[in-house]
Amino acid sequence: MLKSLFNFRFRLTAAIFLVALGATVTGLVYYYLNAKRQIWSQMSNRVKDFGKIGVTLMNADDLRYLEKLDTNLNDTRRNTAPVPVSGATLSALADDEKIKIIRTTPFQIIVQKLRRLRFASGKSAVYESILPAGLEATAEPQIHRAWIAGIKMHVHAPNFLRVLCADEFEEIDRNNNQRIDPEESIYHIGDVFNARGLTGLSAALAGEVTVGSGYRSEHSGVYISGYTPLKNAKGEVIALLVIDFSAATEFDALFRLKVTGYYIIIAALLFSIMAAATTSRFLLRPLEVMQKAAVRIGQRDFSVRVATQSRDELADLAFALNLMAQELGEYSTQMERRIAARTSEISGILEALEQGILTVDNRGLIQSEYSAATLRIFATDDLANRKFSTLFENEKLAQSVDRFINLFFSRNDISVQMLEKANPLREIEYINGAGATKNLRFSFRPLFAEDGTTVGRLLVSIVDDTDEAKLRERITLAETQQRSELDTLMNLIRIPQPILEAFIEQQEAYLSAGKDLIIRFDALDPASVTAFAQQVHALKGNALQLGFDELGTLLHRIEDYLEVMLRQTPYDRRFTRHEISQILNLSEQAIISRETLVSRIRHLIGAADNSAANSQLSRLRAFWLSKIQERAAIAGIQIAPEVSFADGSERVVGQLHNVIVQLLRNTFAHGIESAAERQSRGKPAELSIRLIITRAMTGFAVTYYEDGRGFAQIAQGSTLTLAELLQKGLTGAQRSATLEAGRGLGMDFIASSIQSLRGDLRITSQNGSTIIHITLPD
Amino acid sequence: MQILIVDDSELMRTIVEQVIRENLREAAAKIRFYHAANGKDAMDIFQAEPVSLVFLDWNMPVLDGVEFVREIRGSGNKVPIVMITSVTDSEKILQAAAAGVNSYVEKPIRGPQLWDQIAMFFRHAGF
Repeated sequence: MLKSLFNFRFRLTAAIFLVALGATVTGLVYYYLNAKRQIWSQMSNRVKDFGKIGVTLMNADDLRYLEKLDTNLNDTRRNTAPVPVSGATLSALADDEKIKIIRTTPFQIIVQKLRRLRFASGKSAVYESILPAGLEATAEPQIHRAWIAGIKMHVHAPNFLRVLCADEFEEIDRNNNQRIDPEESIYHIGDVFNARGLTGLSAALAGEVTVGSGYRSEHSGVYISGYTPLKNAKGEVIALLVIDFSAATEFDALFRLKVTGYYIIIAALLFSIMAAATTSRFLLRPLEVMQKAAVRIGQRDFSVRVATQSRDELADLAFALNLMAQELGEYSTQMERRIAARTSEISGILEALEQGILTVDNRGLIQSEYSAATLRIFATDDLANRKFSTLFENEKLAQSVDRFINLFFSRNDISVQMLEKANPLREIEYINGAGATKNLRFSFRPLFAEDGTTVGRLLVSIVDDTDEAKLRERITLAETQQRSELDTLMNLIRIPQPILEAFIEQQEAYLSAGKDLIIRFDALDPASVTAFAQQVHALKGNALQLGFDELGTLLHRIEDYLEVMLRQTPYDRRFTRHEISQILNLSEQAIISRETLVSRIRHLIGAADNSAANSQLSRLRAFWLSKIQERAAIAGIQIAPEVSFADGSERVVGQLHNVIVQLLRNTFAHGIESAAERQSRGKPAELSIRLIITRAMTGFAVTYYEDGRGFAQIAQGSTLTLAELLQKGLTGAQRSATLEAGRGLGMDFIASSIQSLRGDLRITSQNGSTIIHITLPD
Repeated sequence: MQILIVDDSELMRTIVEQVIRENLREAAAKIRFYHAANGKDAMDIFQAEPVSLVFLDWNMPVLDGVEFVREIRGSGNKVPIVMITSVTDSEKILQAAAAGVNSYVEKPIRGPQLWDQIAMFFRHAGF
């Protein structure tokens, strides 16, 4: 840029220089030519004037003499000599003839007149030899020589003139250089003069006063010749007065003018160079400043401004440059802001993305931008600049990953399908930094560089599939075991399978017992009615607990009929039989419908405890705990439950299922006190319920504890044994039975159940709490 | 255009040729098909003819598919190679890609799927 500026400056300088020099030279040449023409014209006029004066000096006698002399000299008898080549070299007369003419008076008069003319051109108009000493001429006359040429010779031989008379007939030192120079040689009378090529001569012969071109003599300087025709009375040209006039002063003047001109040109040359250099420097300085500013703008320094003081075009340019810098600066700031906004948007997106996203460069290094989820997936704080393959501890896998990544950067001729299939991370199980096992799916996409063909980076997206994978695994498991929909659902809701299966069995047993009862209705004994009533009651408790409210209601109605049946008349019993039969049919519909069962179980899924552990015992424990909590929530009371089953007690829990149902029904049907009531009796606000099964010496010991109101059949502070309970039978039944409890059937059922299991039972009531101890053999 | 189909099963070779013929219709007349039952035979054909597209099975007697590809690529030839195979292991497919295979069709092949995979090679060849 500097170089081009230099070139520009050089060219500008040269242009200014040439213009200045050209103008100076042209002016000088014009001035010189004009001066030369003026000087020349003035001099010519002076020469002509002297010629005219010379002519006026000659009178008619002189002219007649000259004509006669010319005629004599050109007498053909004399004119025997050949034509001369140049100059007045041909002497036509002998010396005595010349002297004879010179000594004549008319000739002398003409000579004198010529001399007078010559000296008139000097300071003194008089011949110096006759002047007194004080009046001696101080300067030589300007007329070098004055002579008269005859024209008769010219008639015979064109271009040739004959000397008729000259101002001197002796050699004299005309230029006063103290010697006789060749050009001071005398013009002899009768000499023939070659006038070939003399300008102005032919015009003079035609009668005009003319001036010829100048000539330079060796010792006396420059001369010009004036030709003035001498005319007779008839106006005919009879001779020419020739005056050689000194032009030395004029030529000197012209020469000096020329020299001065050269000096002026040299001075102008030097001045032009300096002026051009200075001017271009002055003109280019603002340009230089602007050029430097432009360079800084190019280097993204938009704060640069060019100061201007002038009001010319350069100032406009500077203004435009400043405007450009400002707008570029603003644009740049705006762009930077926009980029910052975009970057923060992208960071936000990366932060919010659920997927893992990162980019890898051609060296396999992870770049610094990745989504926040990426860090969570790998359970690490930082991934930037880490080699992607080092995320995988399995060395073989890491090598495959490296080779796979390299494929994207080294090859562009592999189909997308093939790359997908070759992906070693398509679906992997990964143990992250926190030790958690993750099911991850990686996909790779090339991001092309600016040229659009080479791969700049690789976009890796990671989907954490862990939850879905677990679900899939579970479903696969269920499918592989070829379970029915019911089994699958049971498995999913984690209701202990034995409970459901026992429930179904219990229902089937109820139905067959019920049908049997109807058949033998007229011959029923009270014991079998009581046994059936207990069976119905147990089923009712279970049905209500599992949410089969419809069945529970039907069973409650059967209980009502069974209760009054033994005391009825035969007529009334027929009606009762019909009613029980009808209810049995209705309950069969409610029971046998498998779909109803499935939908009930589905209804229960929502309430199932998902956090339950895997073992059957803990699932049983969770089931009972949740049942206790469910009942407390329905009753609206605070409880402190405790359920604990000893290892290996699964069978016992199963055997006691309906017993536990009845115990809980007793507690919640009439054992509930309000918080105020409890406090007045000195009990904690929360109702304590404990169901604990421990291993005994032989078999298991079951303890049911509650600190509610207690059991209706047991007086405070007393203990009831199994035998006492069995004796009571249905005698203690109360009329005010609700769907929940009240008839005493619950306790009967418990007692008979324990008896049939060959276990033992003891109920103790003391200090506001009731404890039921049950022991069962192995 | 010369297409080389390499597979030890004659049925497979016929199916591949049929899929191409059906999809290209009249244009298929401009194609010469070469069949080879193993990598060695394929190599003989390959060296004798200016083949412009190769369909290749993986597991073959004498010289298997990937070995064949390595030899071809080793000699600097860049002919498009489509692998037709029942191999699905990503590690093996990665090996094939690294050896120089350009595309992959999974066995058992279905006409449209195969055609989707190879249509681009014909577009590239100006069909």
